[in-house]
Amino acid sequence: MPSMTPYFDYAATTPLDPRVEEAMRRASTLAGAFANPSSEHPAGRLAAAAVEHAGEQVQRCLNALDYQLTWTSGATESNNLAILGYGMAQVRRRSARRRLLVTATEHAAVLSAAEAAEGLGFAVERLPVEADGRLAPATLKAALGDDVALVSIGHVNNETGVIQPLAALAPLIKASGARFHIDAAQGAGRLPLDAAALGADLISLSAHKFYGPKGVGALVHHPAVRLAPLLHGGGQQQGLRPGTLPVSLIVGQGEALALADDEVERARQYALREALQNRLTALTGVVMNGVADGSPHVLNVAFAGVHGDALRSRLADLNVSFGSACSGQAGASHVLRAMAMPDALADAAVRFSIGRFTTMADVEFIAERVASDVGALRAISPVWREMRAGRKLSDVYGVTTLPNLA
Amino acid sequence: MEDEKDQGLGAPRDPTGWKHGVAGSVRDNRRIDCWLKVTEVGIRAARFEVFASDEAQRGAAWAAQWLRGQTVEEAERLTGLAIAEATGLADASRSDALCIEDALRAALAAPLTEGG
Repeated sequence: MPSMTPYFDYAATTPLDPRVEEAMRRASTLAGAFANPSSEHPAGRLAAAAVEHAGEQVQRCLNALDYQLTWTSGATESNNLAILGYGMAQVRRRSARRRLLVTATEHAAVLSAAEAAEGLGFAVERLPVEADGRLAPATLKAALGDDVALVSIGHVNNETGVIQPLAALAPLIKASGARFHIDAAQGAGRLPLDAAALGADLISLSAHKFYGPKGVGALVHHPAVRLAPLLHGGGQQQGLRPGTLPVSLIVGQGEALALADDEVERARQYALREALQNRLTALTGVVMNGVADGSPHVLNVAFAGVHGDALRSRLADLNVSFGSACSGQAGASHVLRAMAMPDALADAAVRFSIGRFTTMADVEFIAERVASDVGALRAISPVWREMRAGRKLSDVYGVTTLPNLA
Repeated sequence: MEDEKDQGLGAPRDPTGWKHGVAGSVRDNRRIDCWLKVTEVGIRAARFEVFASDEAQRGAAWAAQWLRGQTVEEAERLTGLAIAEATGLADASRSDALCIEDALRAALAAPLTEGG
């Protein structure tokens, strides 16, 4: 086994919290809730009770006690069920609302599901964001109309940590009569999210993003929202998502959300992120992708004068990410492009994401390594030489809007 | 940027009297600069600046070493294909080698850099 450098990819996935692991272990034993929760015997009823308890843990965390909950395999399935399941139900009802609005910076699971909805007869509009990554209420308001069926907005962007101003956007969506879907995969368990206060209709979750197990997620949905199933089989989950429920995974997801980061942990992560940001920006020529008041767990920066491929090779042994680990696509990030970042600069962007087990020593290690490698690449870069001689970043990268230099 | 152990990568400390050629651009996400110190007998020193992949760095480092001591005529015959073959560049990186060749040709055709 190669020695592991500190883990800085908590936005991609998190390790299982030991307390979650213990709850799952207990649930998996003969004395626990291992049985099929659909079985009409005592062991089955014990498993069903465990599932119900986990559901309450999830709903409580989101202030969604009056909502329904459908267990899924993760946020990708939840997003597909929210967008396509709602879309199919709308088609069956012959609704005249046939437009879907999504933010241009959404995760591929939202963008691709929305594209698939075009096959159902929906027109999909990708809403542009501001240079800081946020969706302006005015942009949303201009796009809304009485023909919009659903608006899908991510709570926290997975690449930049930008938090969308949901409190300002939600009333606009409600006023239009459209349904409101929040992809909360990146924010849940890290930041408070109040479904009832926002009037959210659908919320997607994925347990492995908040120290729970991989392979389980949930779609929390308002009882008034009609959904059509994407899968067909037995009658589990009211036929909306058939299949035997993975009880230990569900128990893990509930426990993980019950252990959601509190104010103290958020403050600790903000301090770590700020320390990392300060060390990296000391290199100069560092562009912040996102905003200072973003989620505490993500720092996305681009290093001017450094070539992206070369940087990736240099940092290959570090547990950091370039763009989204989920996209699996080469080329500049669609998120950074939507934020008007030139491709060559977006290509040299690195996402550092911290979490519950990150320490200041980890931050110091990663900052030192990255500084060393960026310095080595800049020492041979004609682009950096010209910038040091006074050529402006906007001129070098051929953009009219100056990126947010830290 | 220059030292005994370097691989011929990076700009010369004092560019006065060097020839300087540029190929590629940031917009293309690849730029390679070639610096040549040319005397009557041939190329005394060659350096490359690389804003490109690590494969391009490898090709440029090889070219910098190879060019040292060559005549101008020999340098003019160096091709991207030869660089790619000599350094075992992957097919996907052949365009990096061509960019190195372009930077070399631009430097050979350039006037001497003035000033300090």
